[in-house]
Amino acid sequence: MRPKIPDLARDFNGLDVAIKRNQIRLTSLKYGIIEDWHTVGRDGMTQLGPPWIQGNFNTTVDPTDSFPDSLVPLTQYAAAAPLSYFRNPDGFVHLRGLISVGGGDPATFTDDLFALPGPTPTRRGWRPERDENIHVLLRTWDTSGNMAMNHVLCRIDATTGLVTLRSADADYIFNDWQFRSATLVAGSQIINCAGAGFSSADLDKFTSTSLSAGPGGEIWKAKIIQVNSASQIKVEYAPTAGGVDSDFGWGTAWPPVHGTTPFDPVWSFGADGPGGIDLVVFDGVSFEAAL
Amino acid sequence: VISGQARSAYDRLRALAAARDLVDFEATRRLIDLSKNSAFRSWQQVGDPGNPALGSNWTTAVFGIDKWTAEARYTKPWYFRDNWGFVHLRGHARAIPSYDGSAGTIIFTLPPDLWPEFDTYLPAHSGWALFAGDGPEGYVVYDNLIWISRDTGDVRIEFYADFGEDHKWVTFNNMMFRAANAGVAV
Repeated sequence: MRPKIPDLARDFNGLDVAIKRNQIRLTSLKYGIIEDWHTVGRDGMTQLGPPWIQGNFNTTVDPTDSFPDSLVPLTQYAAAAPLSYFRNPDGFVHLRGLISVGGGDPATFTDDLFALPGPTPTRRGWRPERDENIHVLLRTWDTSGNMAMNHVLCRIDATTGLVTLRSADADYIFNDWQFRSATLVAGSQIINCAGAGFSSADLDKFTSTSLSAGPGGEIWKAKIIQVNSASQIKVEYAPTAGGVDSDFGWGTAWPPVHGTTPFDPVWSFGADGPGGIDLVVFDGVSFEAAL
Repeated sequence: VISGQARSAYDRLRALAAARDLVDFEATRRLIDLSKNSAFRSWQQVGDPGNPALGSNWTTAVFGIDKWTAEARYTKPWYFRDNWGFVHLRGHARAIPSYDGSAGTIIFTLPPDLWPEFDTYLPAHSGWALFAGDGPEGYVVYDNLIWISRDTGDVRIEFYADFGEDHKWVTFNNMMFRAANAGVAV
């Protein structure tokens, strides 16, 4: 009796896999389709959107562009892979590699990265069945030359294959930085944010870096819980002044102006101001492809 | 000799090939042969006999705070290479208290068959505290990168400046990359 494919598919490796996927896998085995990596921009099917480029990690940043002069070059990534992709016979697409701006102008969250190829009559393509969110790592800079690495989501459009950074994460990152120069005055628990211009749209946003808390303390996380008519904010935070605080809990801070450190609201991207993204890391990314 | 699960899969593929003419038989045999490379079929723990050791500035990460104690099972880095040539990582490592955050400190070194084709930078989380006696601020977690050298297989942390204090750790959970010689020669 001829074996039935559904039975075999259910038994194979103990997985109740879809019959269609199993057929694809077995067909791949027949033809030896263990793909090599396809390099974006060099495969005849894809290209990187400007200002992103492959490689060129040895180039130092042009001090005349809108990046701060103190940018660190990317030479440590010289042996990294170019942005590449391939589809494994098990139905997963894998990405690897780093892209940079190569010393040019910084990238913004609205710059398209690239588009994964779709199916043709002779191949299945490398796009997901539904829109996917993948995690990537960004290197970002502010106007003072402060570097940060941020995990953000990347969206892959199932219809077009377009890969873009999600702007919602940009909101997170740059509100994260908005407090960098603020000072929490010990004892009074007040954040100096004169002229900040906050609005109700900033509610529930977090900060996690460099919020000074008087002698020796640093606030690692604070959340905007209220904005008043003077565009000032009230935040919740975990007090850490004086070192580790065993009585963990939320304190509150309420402007108006207090202290001596002015708030610096200039944390914008691209054409609207300095600062930006100069590196995206795709190593370790995978997702299930459309059949 | 093919035995056990490999034998079962082999037989089923053979039957399917006969029924549907879908499978290159020789290719399948090679694939199953590869799966018999037992050295890389199961998870390997760094520090176990026959496996690489933790670098001199790194030690076991025994977490001591409430739900994190469940992580005790993976207090060192683990690795294995699957049949497609992908290397999977899991577990944790902790910097020793005297680690000064020097550049280039190796956490461990992968066996040659697991080295990547290019230097690989895997998004990682690092942090501090979460060990018995530390305060609740130990829940602080930072974005970081694990850097794996294509030339030596050395595994390092990319951003080490914050590792100059006590109680620093990094997690390897959910990491995966394709080995350089991953070609399943079918």
